[in-house]
Amino acid sequence: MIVDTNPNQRYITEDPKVLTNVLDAVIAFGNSHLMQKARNQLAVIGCHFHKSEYLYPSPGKPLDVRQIDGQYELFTLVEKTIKMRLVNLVKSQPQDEKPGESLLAGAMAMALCFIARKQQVLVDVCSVDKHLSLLQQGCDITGGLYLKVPSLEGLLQYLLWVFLPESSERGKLVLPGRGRVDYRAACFCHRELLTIGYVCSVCLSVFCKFSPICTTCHTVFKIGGPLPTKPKKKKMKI
Amino acid sequence: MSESSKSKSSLNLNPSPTLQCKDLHEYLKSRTPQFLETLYNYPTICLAVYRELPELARHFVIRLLFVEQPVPQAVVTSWVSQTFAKEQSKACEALSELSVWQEAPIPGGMPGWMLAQSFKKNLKVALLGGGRPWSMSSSLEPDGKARDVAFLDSYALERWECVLHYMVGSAQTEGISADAVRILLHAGLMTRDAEDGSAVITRAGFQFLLLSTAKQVWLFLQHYLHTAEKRSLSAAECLAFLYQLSFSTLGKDYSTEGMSNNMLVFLQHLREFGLVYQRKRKAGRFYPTRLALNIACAHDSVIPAPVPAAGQPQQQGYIIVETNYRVYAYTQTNLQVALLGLFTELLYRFPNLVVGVLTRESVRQALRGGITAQQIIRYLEQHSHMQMLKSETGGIRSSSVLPPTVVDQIKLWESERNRFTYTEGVVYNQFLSQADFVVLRDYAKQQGVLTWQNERSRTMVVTRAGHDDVKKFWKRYSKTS
Repeated sequence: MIVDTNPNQRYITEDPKVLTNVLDAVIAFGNSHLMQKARNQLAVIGCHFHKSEYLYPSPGKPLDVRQIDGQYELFTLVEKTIKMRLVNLVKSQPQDEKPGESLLAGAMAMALCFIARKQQVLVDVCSVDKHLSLLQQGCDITGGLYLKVPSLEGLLQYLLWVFLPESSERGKLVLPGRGRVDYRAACFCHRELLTIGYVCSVCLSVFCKFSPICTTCHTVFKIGGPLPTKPKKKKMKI
Repeated sequence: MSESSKSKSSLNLNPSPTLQCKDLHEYLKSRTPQFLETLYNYPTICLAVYRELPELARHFVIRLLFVEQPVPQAVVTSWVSQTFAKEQSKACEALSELSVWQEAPIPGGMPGWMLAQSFKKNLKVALLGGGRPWSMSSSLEPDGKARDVAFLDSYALERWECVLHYMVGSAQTEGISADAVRILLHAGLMTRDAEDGSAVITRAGFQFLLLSTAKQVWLFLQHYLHTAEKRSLSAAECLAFLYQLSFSTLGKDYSTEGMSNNMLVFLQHLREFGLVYQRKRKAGRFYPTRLALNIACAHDSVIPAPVPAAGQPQQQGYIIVETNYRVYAYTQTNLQVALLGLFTELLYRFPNLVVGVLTRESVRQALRGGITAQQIIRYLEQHSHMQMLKSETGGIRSSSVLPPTVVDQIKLWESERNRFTYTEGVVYNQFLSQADFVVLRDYAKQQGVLTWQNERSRTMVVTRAGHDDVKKFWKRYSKTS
């Protein structure tokens, strides 16, 4: 499970308390997964704007947890570990820097989806805020589900309903449909979806405007003269 | 026409009673609803029951967990696509059988489902927290003489083998209490000898020995719980404690503080069987072992080896099976020799080696004793020598480490005994006219409930399930004609 904890997101800036609710829902969901079968395992990665880190299991020795209430020991361990490590993660963020984009975005997500597809692992995405086109594509190619939650209050119920069942069970259940997936690529310079763009012949980066030097791999395109204008003409025709 | 409800099957349906090993689900099903109600007051049991439910049933429970009012049955049905209606009804049945949910009317007259209050409450407690801590979790100072996992594993194995050794009547009878003997007798795994009153192993006992360790432990404990009430122990409390153990962490110590006297007695019994380790009776702390942890997943068929070999170097395989049906066992213990002797003809015995051969007669004798072919094969596979794992099967890829010819032959020997299939049915005979007979026969055939018929003697046999339907049809038919 990868949780985007970037404080830059709209729903958090509007009401910071929501984050606690969302976190509780995520932990409950993780524990429900562990509850399904004794063999099920859980890994949670927190994704912040300056780095990504494992929230659970914690590297090194696990916390020594004793039960404080009727909760199953393992679940208490999960909850404690995630909360503690998330606090550490947030505290470790550089104070002077302005929060930027999450590290998960872009190339990493694509690589992840590619690996998942090769390993036949499902990628499920649950968006609590805005529409995530790139990750939706990832879900589609790996056979996972994409869901944009209409309201945050019912988050846990949505998680338990849509994402908890195993892939073999999903065929038997009535789940929200895939919908139409937008397969357009996003350009690397402005992250806008394109139908036609420029592709670097060396590293295959996509750009919406022609630039003589690729910003990703710094290849210099020597071609001058008529060539750069030619695709433009074509574009006009279409 | 007369019908005689004589069932075709004789009383002796299964001449060799096979050892019944119920899983938790079946065990609970055979209990009363009141007993279940008490059980669901323990979060541990709720957790264990939840894990044992069919997948779809688990989905229903988790979706209903946070709903505070009855949900219409039609809504629950709509969660599953039409093509899997069968599985859906099976899941619903399982939930009703275990009284996890009850029917509850909804304003408007529609039937609805509602999770049992105590189950819902305690599953939430287990998942999200709240309520009282489990009895054994009071904090402890670090143990000066902490035990590691390897130690616990070997301790558990040694204790459990002690019980098994006693069963085959090995010389070492120390370390087994009268209580354990009583349970073995009660379970029918052993019986009192008619002459001198000493305990001897029964056929069921031998079948028991062929089971995997996790299954043995679970079966044994089931019988323990049956006898528990007599010893003024509450079966519900014991079961809850057992599952508490199974949800604990291996290699961690737990406190006995706050445990009732009854539970302390129970703990001492578990200590005897190797389910928990305690340095001293009054140590105030105990360590659950792998045997206890495996109770919860004993029926999880996906886990092939309940006791991983890595932690247990001493429990290596010792059996080599050759394609010529010869079995070589590198062993010195009487237990293992006795077990092999159940289904092989023993030829030679050396200090560290026993040689036997699998023959039709020896295997059939085992089958007659109620042992199944699957059990024999499983046992041989489980205890295969390291060399067997390495050897090639002569280009034939098979899933088993045993020679395919031997596996197939054992299965064939079993199936040649199964020449009869028994179906319960009702005989219809003494029809007054051939026409009547033909009409009824054709009807039964059409319904797919006809088992056998003979036109000359005007006799037909209908399955038990189809009897009511055919009878109704006959009444209607005889009225009109």
